[in-house]
Amino acid sequence: MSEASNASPVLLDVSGVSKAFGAIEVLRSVNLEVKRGEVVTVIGPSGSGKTTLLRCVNFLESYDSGSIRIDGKEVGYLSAGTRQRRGERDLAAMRAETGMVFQSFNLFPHLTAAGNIMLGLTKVRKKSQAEARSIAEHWLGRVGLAHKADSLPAELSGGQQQRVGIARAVAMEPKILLLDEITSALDPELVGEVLAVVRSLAEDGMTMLMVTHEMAFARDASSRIVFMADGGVSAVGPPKEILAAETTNERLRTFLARFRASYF
Amino acid sequence: MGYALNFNLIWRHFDKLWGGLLLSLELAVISIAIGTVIGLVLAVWYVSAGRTVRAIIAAYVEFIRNVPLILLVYLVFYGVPTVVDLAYSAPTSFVLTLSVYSGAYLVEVFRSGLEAVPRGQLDAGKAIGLTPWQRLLHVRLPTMLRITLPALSNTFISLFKDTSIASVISVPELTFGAQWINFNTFRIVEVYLVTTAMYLVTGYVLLFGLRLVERRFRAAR
Repeated sequence: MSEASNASPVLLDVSGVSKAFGAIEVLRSVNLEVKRGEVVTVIGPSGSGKTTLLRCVNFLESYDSGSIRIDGKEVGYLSAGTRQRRGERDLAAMRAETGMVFQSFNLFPHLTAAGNIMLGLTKVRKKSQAEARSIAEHWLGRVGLAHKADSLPAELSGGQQQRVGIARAVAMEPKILLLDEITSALDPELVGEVLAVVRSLAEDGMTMLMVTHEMAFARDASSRIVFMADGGVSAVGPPKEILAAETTNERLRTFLARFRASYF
Repeated sequence: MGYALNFNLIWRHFDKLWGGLLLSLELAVISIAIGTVIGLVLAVWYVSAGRTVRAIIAAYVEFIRNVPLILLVYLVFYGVPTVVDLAYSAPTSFVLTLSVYSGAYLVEVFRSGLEAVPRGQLDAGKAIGLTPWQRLLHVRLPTMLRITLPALSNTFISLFKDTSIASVISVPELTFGAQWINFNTFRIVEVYLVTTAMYLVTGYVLLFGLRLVERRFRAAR
């Protein structure tokens, strides 16, 4: 909205966000800030609300109370106070400012790799076919798939599909990129190629909020790590601090211990 | 065992069959086209509507599916004009009936297809900022089409065969032509053999064409 907000170092501001599915509280007054250029990783046991939190940030899920702001603009609702839902066109325009990469890729099966990237560029960003095509080719090159521009998703491996998924999200030039367990559905040998792409985006200064179970990657690539448990933020800090074996946070220690036990 | 096959009389009146087949196809194409529009619109409406609209659409589908087509044909051709001041020819009446009839079946085909589109694809459409209308047009309908094409082909073939019911209100389509020849020549075996072959070949040609379309769509961009 106002240009003044661009000066703020905080790009994503989640404050007091709560959400329940029926009687189950999945988010309990979550607070979280992501600054411009930061890579923030959310870890935690399954069912701790990580994915729901991410889906609230681009309003794929609504939330019951609290406020989420991107670049000073309230997400999903006209204002945190009134809780009046934005209109569909408004929501669409807002979602175009956040990129999302999904665990199960979710490529459009009827479109080629380039077509998947071009859809948002032509329909949302109103770019010409030729311009969209050249942007798509640029990003396919960035993710190492220049030669697969005309392949359909079904002709690509999981790792390749996910790289197209990333290219589709970043080609829209979002303010923030949301990565939802993007390597969880991949064969182990394909994880590396996807993480390499994420790493190079981080080096470019892309602001990212990601949920992952790749602890080594979280340690190396994150500015900060958020540990969620039972729908709330249990610990936040730099990777070294959070992933330290001698942490005093008992839930975190149990989580990490279980993690180490299952992975090593 | 004195019955000797003699096709000569059939060939002499073959124009009745050939003209009938063309009319059958015409009835089918027009009815299916209208039915497809009805089916698509109602299916899209159904999946996005509230309880009341859903109940009304479901009632239409259930009504049509549980009443024999031949009864609907009688009802529309003989019944409706006696109640309301409307006059239409038998072919128009039949097209009207088969359109409404096929619409009900096609609502079901399209509805199940729309509901089978994975939610993740719709999420992805939302995430790149597509509006609901754009998501429907560029994400949901193309995927729905790919999912439903095989079922759609079967429904189309089935509806083509249903045009034979038009013979009961004297629409001169293929079955009516066959009956005419039978009444006038008594070559019952020959005429129905030839007619069966004509339905069979036409059905196969239609199916082959639809399979080509399916294959194209599977590879299309």
